[in-house]
Amino acid sequence: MNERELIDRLKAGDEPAFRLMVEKYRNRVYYTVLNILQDTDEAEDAAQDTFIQVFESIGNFKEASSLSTWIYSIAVRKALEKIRKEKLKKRLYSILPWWMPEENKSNDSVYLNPGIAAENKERATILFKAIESLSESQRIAFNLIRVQGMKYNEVAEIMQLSIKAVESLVERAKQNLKVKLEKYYRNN
Amino acid sequence: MDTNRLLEEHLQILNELKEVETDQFFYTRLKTKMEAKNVQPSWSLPLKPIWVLGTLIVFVALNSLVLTQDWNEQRSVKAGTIQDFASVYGQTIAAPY
Repeated sequence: MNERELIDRLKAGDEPAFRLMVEKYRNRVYYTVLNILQDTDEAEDAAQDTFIQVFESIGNFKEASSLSTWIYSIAVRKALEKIRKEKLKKRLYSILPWWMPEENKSNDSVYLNPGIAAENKERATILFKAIESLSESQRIAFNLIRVQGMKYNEVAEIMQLSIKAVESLVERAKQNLKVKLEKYYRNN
Repeated sequence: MDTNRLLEEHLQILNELKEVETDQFFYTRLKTKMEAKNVQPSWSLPLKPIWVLGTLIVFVALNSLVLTQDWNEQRSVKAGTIQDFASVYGQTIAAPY
């Protein structure tokens, strides 16, 4: 089934087409949100929310971009929503700790991408800790380009920015990573 | 310390990453979540405007009915109370003319 046919069938509410679309994009969507959220449970949740959103809004899809770009942009938005909710939760917890007693996630825990080879684990831990400390937009741009291997024009569409802005974000992310790594190795 | 080389060494890890995949039951879990999202909990309030308006009209009508009845009852109770008081003391209520 080509993309045109898939979109038409999705718009008609065809369930086999929806299943086909989920099977086609689930791994990419999951990996995208996992790299942003750095938490497997949260990533699963965000990936599911992405497909629910696709199902609910396919009627509004104007086809200005490809279906995959549209799906990834929803995935990035869902991941960002989760990050913002988590930040709000942390802020509320700092103000009202008795109101949210179940909060027990450690801030010191470092995410390690499950796809990392054993011999690279130590360096990867340092790198991912540095990536995590980047600003939100730098982290997303850097992840999509360097970790996901997406093209600049795709990322520009997903982040609704110009290609130059994305290039600038990735360059600044690299500069910041350089500083953070240098600082780390100087102190250790 | 050559920071460019340091960065490149670390970034090399990203080129060797294996893409992480979801398991084969992802779609089943997704369907379950979608179905759960569509099912309204049994205790949820019907918040459609027609229901809200209908409930409001019934509420106002019942209140008016109760208030009117209460007012009529109070009037008859007042009259009854004076009659009872007079009969207990063997008095008659004379008309004020």
